[in-house]
Amino acid sequence: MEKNSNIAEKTVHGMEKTAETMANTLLAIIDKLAGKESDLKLTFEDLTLDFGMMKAKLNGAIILDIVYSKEAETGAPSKASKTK
Amino acid sequence: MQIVTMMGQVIESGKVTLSTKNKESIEIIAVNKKIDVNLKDKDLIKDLVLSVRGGSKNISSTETVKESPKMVKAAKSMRETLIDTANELKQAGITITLSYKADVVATVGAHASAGISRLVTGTKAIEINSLPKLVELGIYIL
Repeated sequence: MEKNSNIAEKTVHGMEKTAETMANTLLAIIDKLAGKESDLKLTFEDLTLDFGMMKAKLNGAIILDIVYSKEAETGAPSKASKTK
Repeated sequence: MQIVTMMGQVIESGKVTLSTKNKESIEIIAVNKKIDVNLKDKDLIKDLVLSVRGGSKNISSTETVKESPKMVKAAKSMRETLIDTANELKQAGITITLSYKADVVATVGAHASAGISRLVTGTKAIEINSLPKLVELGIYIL
């Protein structure tokens, strides 16, 4: 029983780490696309994931529309510092 | 365990495509512990490699000199991570091939058979199939 819960814990931890890495990669790509008014599409075709205890099949797409109107200005006094 | 090895073990089969501006940039095909990463957009790859290294394309030569030690340090750490990952992939029986426009540029892991490139990388688990294309993509951390 305890062994099973350990395996489940490890599986969840592995899934968390995988999601984190995927998110970091996406973040790097989004950062590079910022201000370019482009979109990012991640397509999955019969992607089979094996987490040991369970299997998952992914089909579909994730689309991120990126429209950054303006880059943040630096060095300019903020409104908060002007008004007391 | 490195995250690439973990992902290599988790992904059983299938295809993942990353597109930007309706243009395919990266295509990943996995079949039976063999993962092919096909790079299609050179500029995006160059940008990503630069961002991982901590550098930037649009900086002056003075800033480049200032940033050099930081970039060298980042490249060294990335090289060590890559070698560790390659050895782990070999042990796990997973092969990752890096292709650019359908030509194999590098092979990492179980099916890599490093020749002279072993003297540079220090491991049998990384095979450089096309050095000019690797440089063209801006991947010259080895």
